[in-house]
Amino acid sequence: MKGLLIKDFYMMLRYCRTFFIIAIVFEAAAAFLGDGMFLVAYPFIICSVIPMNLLSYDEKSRWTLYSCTMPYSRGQLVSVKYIYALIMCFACVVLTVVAQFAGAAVAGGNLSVNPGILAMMLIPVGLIPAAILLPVIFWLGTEKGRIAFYAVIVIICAFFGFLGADSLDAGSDVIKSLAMRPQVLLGADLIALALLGISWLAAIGLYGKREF
Amino acid sequence: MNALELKNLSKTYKGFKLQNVSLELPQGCIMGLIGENGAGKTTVIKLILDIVKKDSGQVYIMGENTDGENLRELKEDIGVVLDDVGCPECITPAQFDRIMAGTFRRWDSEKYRGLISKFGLEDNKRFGEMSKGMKMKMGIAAAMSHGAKLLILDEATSGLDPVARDEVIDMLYEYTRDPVHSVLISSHIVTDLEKLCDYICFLKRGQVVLCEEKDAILEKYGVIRCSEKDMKIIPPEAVVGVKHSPYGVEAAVKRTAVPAGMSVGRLGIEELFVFMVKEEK
Repeated sequence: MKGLLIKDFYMMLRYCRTFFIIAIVFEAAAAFLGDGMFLVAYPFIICSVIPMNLLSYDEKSRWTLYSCTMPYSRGQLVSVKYIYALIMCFACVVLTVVAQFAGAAVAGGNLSVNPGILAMMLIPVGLIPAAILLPVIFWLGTEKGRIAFYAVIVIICAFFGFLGADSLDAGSDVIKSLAMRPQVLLGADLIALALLGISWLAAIGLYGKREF
Repeated sequence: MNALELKNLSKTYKGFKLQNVSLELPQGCIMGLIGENGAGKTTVIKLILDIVKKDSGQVYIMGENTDGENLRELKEDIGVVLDDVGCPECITPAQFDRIMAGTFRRWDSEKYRGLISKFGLEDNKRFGEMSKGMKMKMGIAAAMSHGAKLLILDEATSGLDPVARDEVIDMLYEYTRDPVHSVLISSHIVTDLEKLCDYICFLKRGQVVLCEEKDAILEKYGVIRCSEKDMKIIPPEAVVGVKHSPYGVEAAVKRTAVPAGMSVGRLGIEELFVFMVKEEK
C-alpha cells in the first residue's frame, strides 16, 4: 500500500496546494481576528473533501482501472483514501491549535476558547463529510456521486453559516456549554470515528462489487 | 505449463454476451487477441484480471486458479498495459518509479530507468504533458520492470507511430526470449500481430471463432479467386468468407476441404480476419 500512499501524496502536493493555503489563511484569520466559527470550521470542511478530490483525479486519469491490474486488494485501494481523510483531519486539528495559541500570544496571552475543546468540536466536521461521501463515490463514481457531494457541502456550510452568528470571541452559549462538558465532545468525536469506520467497511464492500 | 488458460469464460452485459471463451497460451509464447470493435477483447482482459466479475468459467495463470485471494499474489507476475495507461497526469517517470517501488515486491528501478532512458523519456516530464506514444512507452517500461512472467497488452501499440511500434515489437520479441515469459496482446493492427505472434485467437461477437498457432492458420486457410460458377463447386463447409464483385468471387477457404485441382493462394491473417468479420454481414 506504500505505493498508493506515495502516489496520493504526490497528487496532493500538485492538486491540493490551494486547499492548504486556504486552510492556513482561514485558521490564521480566526485566531488573529477572533472571528466566527465558520472561519475555524471551513478548513476542516475543505480538507475533508481532499480524498474525494483525489478520487476524482484517479477516475479522470483512469488510475482506478490501472490500479486494479496491480497487486492491491480493493480494500487497500479504498483504505488509502480513508487514511488521508484521517491525516487531513489531524493536520487541521494541529493547525487550529497552533493558530489559536499564536493568536493568543499576539493578543497578550488570552485564549478566547480552549483550543483543545475547539479541536475536539471540529473533528466530526473533518470526518463526517468523508464518512458520508467516500462510500457513495466509491460506489457510483465521481460523476454520479457529485450530487451527494454538493448536497453534503451545502448542508454543512449552511449549518456553520448559521453558527457563525455566534462569534468565538463573544463566547457563544453553544461553545460555552459544550466547553463545560468535554465528555460530550469526546463522545461526538468517537461517534464520528465510528461513522468513518462503518463508512470504510461499506466503501470496501461497495467498491469490491464495482466493475470498470 | 500454460502461462494463461481460460475455460468457458462467460459474461453478460446488457446488449453483449461473452460466451464460453476458452484459450491456452503456453509459456514462452505470444498470443494475439484479434477482433473487431466490441468483439469482447477488452472484456476478456478485464475478466482475466478480475476487473469485471465473470458469470462463469475459470481463469488459470501459471497453472493457478485465480479465484479468491490467489490473483492478488499472481498480479506480481503480470505486467499490464492498457490502451490508456492510467497514470495520473501530474506524475513524472521519476515519481512513478517510487510509486511502483512501493507497489511491486520485485520492482527493478534500474531496469525501469534504463527503459525510460532507452525510450527517450524525460525523468521530470509530467505524464499529462506526454504524447500518446510516450505515455504508452512509460506504461510498457513499468510493465516490464517488475519481473513479470506474463505481459497483457490491450491495444498497447495503437497510439504509436510505426517506428515506435517497431521498437515495442522488438522489445516483446526480446522479452519472450526468456522461455518463461509470455505475452497476450490485443490489437486492431493485425499486421503487428501477424509479425509478432505464435498464436492467434480471433473473437467475434463475444465468441472465439478461431484459436490456433499462427503457422497452422496460415497453412490451413487460403484464398480462391474464381467465377461465380466455379464458386458453386466449392463445398459450403470449406468457405469461411466470401467477397463478391463484378469481376468474380474471392473466397477464404479451408485448403483441405477444397476440391482437388483448384488453385488456392496464400492468405494472410489480416485478410482472413476481414473475411471472417464480413462473412455474416
